[in-house]
Amino acid sequence: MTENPLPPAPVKKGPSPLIEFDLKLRPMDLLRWLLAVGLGTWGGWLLYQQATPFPTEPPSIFSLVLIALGFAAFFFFPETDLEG
Amino acid sequence: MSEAPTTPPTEKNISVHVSITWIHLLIGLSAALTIFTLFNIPNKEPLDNYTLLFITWGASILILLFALYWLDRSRPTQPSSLTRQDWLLFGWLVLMAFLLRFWRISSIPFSMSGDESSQAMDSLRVLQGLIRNPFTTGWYTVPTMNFFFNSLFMSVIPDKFIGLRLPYTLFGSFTVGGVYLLVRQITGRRLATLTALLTLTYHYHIHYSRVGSNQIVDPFFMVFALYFLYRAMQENRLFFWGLSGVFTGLAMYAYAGARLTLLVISGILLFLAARTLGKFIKQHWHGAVIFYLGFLITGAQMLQFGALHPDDFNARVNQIGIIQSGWLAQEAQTYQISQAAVLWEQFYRSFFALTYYQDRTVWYKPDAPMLDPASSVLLIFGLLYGTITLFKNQKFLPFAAWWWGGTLLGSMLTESPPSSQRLVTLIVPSLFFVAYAVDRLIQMLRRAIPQLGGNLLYYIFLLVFAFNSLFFYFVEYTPRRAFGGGPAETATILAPYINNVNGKYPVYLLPDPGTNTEFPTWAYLFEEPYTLLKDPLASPLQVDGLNNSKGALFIAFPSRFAELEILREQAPGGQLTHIESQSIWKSEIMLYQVPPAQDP
Repeated sequence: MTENPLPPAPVKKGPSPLIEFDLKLRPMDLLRWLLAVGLGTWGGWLLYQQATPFPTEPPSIFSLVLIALGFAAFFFFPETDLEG
Repeated sequence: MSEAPTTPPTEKNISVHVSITWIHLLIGLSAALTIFTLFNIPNKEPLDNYTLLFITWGASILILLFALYWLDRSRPTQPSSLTRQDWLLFGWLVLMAFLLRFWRISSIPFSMSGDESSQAMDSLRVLQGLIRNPFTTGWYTVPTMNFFFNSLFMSVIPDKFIGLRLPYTLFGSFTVGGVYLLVRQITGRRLATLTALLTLTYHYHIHYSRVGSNQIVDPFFMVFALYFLYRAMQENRLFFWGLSGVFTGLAMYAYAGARLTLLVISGILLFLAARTLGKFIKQHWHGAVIFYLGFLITGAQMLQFGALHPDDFNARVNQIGIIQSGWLAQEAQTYQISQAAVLWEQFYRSFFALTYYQDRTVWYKPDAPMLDPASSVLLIFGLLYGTITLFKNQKFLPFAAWWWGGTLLGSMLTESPPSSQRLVTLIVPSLFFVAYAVDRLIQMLRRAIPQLGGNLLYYIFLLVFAFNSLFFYFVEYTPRRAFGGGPAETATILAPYINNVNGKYPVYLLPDPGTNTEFPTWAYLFEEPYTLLKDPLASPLQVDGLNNSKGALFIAFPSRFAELEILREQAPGGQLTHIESQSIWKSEIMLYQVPPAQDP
């Protein structure tokens, strides 16, 4: 006597995702962007802290170095479109 | 042996073809009219009639432009790249800029400053016929053409604030539209819209568009002279070369800072000639000649004035220039440092003028750097990028030349950098570089994450910039009443009280000992006569207002408040009003109004 095979298990569907997207990244480009924005923001914030309420000294070397490093990441990037 | 017949040497045929059309005659007529004005202006007395010379000057410009327009019709030209959509956007920008700059213009900024009033007084002198020569200089060596232009508005608008400030509101509003056209012409629509929207909402530009003084004219002339220049080069149209020259020439009649227009455009032409090893000159030499012709036909009269009266023409520049005034040498000697060290300090104070240091004057006095922290860094990024890549990408050339020219000549080589009134010209190139840096950062991010599309990031940046800027100007800055300083605020507060007297009774002013009683705002705003009581009042008082039946209004400054008590004892029953402003100046005055005597 042969046993009846079990009916195939129904395919269970999980809850449909609320948000779904395939993210494609260019990691090196993203890193350079993060460096440009991050270092620029940090340097700019330090500059602003020194400038308010009134600047008594020239901008600090540290803040300028941060901005310069941020600029380097901004500069060494493929040319962007100016035409708009 | 017979000699070989000698053949006569062949003569070179020289053929000269001269073709003179009525268009060339018109250009000649325009030049002749200019020469006519140049011969006649120096022979005139200040109070002579200059109407004919003014009309001749205007006609020479119009004839030149008319001739160039017709000349272009017979030459190969390129069509304009601007579409109807661009012009609609231009109109919208001008309208929005006007609304932001004209709204409550008679009370924002609150005070009528001394410098505004001095310029207003010269404009009134034009209306009174006391200034008749538009080709000379007046108050603080400002070209009198400014006052003629102002007087047009003041003659039809009775409100003293609106009449004086409206022309500059218009200059500022059209500059915003012009920024769009210029950047659109040189780059593209996206960057043009971004730069124009930043200019539209930037508090620094809004402030100077609301002030009755001519600094806001500097970027106006530069924007349009550059726009016409680039349009001329791209479309190969002599009319626009001429128009660029005319705007550059008109800049000679504005504030001394507007003379930068000629230097920047000449620098651009030289750069392009050198960069292309003469190819540019070969292609555009006709245009360059027309540019300088347009400039001379429009501005030769002021150049002639400068040549005949160099001390008057350059007085302001010599006064504030650190080399001409001897300030540089004196400063180096005082602090025992080299002149190079002083110049270096001047340089970095100017380089960081909008991003770190604060305005030293009461022309604006925002008590903060002109740009917010994010825009400051964006400006540095964009400016450095544009400057470094200048030889590779000449689209940055006009903005880089403008920014560096304005910073070095208008700030580094002048006393007390940064002074906001001398840096107004930097607003447009600075915002261009901010816009460029934002644009590049957004494009970088899109390259890193290709799915990021749309313009959401642009909208977010613009909204944050605009909200921050407008909130600062209208909500934080305006109630401080910083513009003009304390004396201007006091005079502005006092003016309605004095003017409401309408001759019904005498007005007496009891000023503090150090008060400048010649302050220009008094002369401009106080319409009723008043008597100054400079010496402390002694009892019994011998003042007409107390002794006759008409009554009187006494206005005391803080150190003279006690004397009003003496007046109250002598003439009781009057009304005492104490006024104290909530501004940073804390201006304070007290009024005592003695009522007219009642008939028994």
